[in-house]
Amino acid sequence: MNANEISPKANVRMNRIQKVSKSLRLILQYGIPILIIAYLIFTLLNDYQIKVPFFSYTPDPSKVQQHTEVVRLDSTNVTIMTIYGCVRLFLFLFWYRAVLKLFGFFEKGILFTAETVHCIQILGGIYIAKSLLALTFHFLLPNLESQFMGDMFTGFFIIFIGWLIDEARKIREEQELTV
Amino acid sequence: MKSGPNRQSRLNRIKKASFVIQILMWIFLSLGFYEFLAFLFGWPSTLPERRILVGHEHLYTTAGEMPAAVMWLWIVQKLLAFWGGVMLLRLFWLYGHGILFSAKNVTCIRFLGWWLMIDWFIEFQMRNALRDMDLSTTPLFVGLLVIFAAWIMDEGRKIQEEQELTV
Repeated sequence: MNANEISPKANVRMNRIQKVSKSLRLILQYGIPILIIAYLIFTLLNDYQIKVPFFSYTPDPSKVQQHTEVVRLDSTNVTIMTIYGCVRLFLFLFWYRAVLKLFGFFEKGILFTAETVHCIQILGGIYIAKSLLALTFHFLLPNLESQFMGDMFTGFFIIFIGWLIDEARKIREEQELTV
Repeated sequence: MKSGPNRQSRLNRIKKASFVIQILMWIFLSLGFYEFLAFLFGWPSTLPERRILVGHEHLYTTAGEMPAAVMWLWIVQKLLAFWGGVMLLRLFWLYGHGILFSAKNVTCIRFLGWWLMIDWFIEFQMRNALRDMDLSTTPLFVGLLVIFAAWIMDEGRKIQEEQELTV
């Protein structure tokens, strides 16, 4: 067997990675839009007082009262919440695109290359951007719930792992070029 | 073409970054563990104000204020978080020693994925006990992604090992 030839066992492993990546990509690509549409339909049904099993609930009146006391929904707060929601949606779509792209690379058998590292680093960057966004809007609207530290840590961890993969890839490439 | 010094400089950079992260993690883990014990046993806190928030509106300043079921779940959650911290420390220790893609690294990363999912389940139980349910499924999804990434790394490592053994 040639030294550059891929062994049958390695081929089986690669096929397995490709199959799992394809399944996950399909679940993400079609599952998330279906879930969002289902959520919108259920919310609409709820608004028309149609009860949906495992979805509809009757809020506790005392808690609703308590909550309205804490968050005063004046026009400024509504505008801030809308902007926050729009930016978060934009970040989610960016994340969605990066994840689909990453799974697409895995599906093609491209595992640890500059392209995959780029996708991983974009994902890390999105988590950091999400945490900074939450922090910024927390100052504007203190009642807004946020997981600032968790997202920041996740973002830095993902970027670090991406950087490590990149360094390992460069070391391997340099070794291959060494005469 | 010379690649030796370049390779060494890259490895040194990884080692330095891992060392800095390890120091930061030691500080945060030590402080966190002290705060955990201080909350449980009523010791003085290093923070200006000690408050534990469970769910949206359940604030506790002492462990005695917590319902028993919630307190035990909270203890399990925090101990699991410390274990996760120790695994993360181990991962950076491995990176610091130039071990980048071994089976041990994969075990640590896989554990982090499981930790995210179990932590979500404990949080779910706590909020259920407090009737304060509004939980994001993001950690569950991220946990699955981390487990998947660990599996890809493991398969990649095995492929490389098998390639090296192929004559």
